[in-house]
Amino acid sequence: MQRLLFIVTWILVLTPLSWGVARSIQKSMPLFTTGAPLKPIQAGSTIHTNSPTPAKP
Amino acid sequence: MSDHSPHFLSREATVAGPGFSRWLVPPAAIAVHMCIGEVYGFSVFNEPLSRLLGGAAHDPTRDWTIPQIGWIYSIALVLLGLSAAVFGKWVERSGPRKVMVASATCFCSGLVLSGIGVQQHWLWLVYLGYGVIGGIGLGLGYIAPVSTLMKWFPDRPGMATGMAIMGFGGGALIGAPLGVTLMSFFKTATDPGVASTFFTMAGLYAAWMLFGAWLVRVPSADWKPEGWQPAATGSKAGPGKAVSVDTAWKTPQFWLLWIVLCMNVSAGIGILGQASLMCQDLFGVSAAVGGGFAGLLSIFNMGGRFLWSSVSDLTGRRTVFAIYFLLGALLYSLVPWTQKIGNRSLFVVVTALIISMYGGGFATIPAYLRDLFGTHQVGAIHGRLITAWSLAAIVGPQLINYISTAKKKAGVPAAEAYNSTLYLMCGLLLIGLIANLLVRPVHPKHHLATHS
Repeated sequence: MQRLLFIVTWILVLTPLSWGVARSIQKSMPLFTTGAPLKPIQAGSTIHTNSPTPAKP
Repeated sequence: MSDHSPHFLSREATVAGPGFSRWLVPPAAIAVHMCIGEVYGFSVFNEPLSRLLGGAAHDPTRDWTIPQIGWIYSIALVLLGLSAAVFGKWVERSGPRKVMVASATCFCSGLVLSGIGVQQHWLWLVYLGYGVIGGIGLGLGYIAPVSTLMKWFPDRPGMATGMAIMGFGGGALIGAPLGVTLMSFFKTATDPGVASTFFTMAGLYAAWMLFGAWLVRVPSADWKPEGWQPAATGSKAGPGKAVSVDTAWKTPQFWLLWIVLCMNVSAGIGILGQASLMCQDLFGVSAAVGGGFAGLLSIFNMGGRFLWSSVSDLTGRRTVFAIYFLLGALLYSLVPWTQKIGNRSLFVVVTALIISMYGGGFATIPAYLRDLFGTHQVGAIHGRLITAWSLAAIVGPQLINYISTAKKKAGVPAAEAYNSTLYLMCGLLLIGLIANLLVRPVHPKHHLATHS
């Protein structure tokens, strides 16, 4: 009984946590899959986009 | 708060019987912490709350402004610290179950009141509901399981509190996407679905938090882990001799740790609060990539809470905080360089490490308190120390915003506007390092005679 309770309780807390982590990993994918300028931004540049579209590779 | 409560909620009713597995207590703590950690994800409601009347067009004369909405989160964080400080002694006296139920009642009724406030477009009710009443629930829920866990895991107190406080970090990972998912489910042409989302969240969180309250137990007075021999009280590995909360907060050790926590939080928030914008400004990436960066940092914020606090059981709390501050200052000073050489991957690694130590600081501080003041009233002492977090959470981001905005206005390129802020963060970490190095064992005159 104690073992069953142990398994159920850990599943109950780890399931939402895993879902949250998976959503975060999914959200962070553009960081690894989208290209970005690898050279430093030039002085005076005000590059700052709020567009949801990814930057060009 | 009266002690004439039903027996089920009393401390006596939560004393574990023989054969109870201590590994059932961390899930109880995580269940509560991952619910109240939702506060970190509150920003997903900012925009929908600013368009309640005007819809997509936004009506500037009637709709709430973003700064007005920002106060909801700020009030909640201030009340978190204040309630933890004020009710800390009651928390120790009443036991974890009663406090977890009180926390669930405050937090979830706060969500319901906020939902009504959103429906009626009464901002004051949202301030009262989510900010004041919900904030009290946050404070109670945050400190409720801390001393209980340390009593169950005297052999690994850092790891034990790390698990619970990891749940708080994980709460943001759950709360933000849950809020977005529910809003998209309830959204109609005229309603962004915020009120219904608050009501639904109140129900879901109440169920989880009450499950935690039902599950939690305290060990009997003579219980100890099988085969474990307690280290001498006051020794490096053992708990400090008992100091009462009223005495502890008058000692220099308390205020040194207050500075330690305040500096660690201020510096971490410097990156966390600005993560998306900073990534865009430094590397010229899109908002989607910036958002991805913020998401990645949240995972390290959560993971660092468990990993670093577990490491502190091996190295000692003073050493691990010295690592946070020294390594943190070094890494902060490297951030402008990563931008200069255009190495985005290195930037991600450096900032992820910084954030892991930010989370680690939260999780390690309860065990540090236990080392200095014993487990007698460590929950109450922790409650008073949390005021450092409240202050840092309000002042830190304001400071960062002010400096970077002033730099940009002065014509400094966006990519370089953060440099002085980052060096300021190094300075804050060095102040924290000095405070940490000044920590010494508590003078014996402060020890409680009956708990020596």
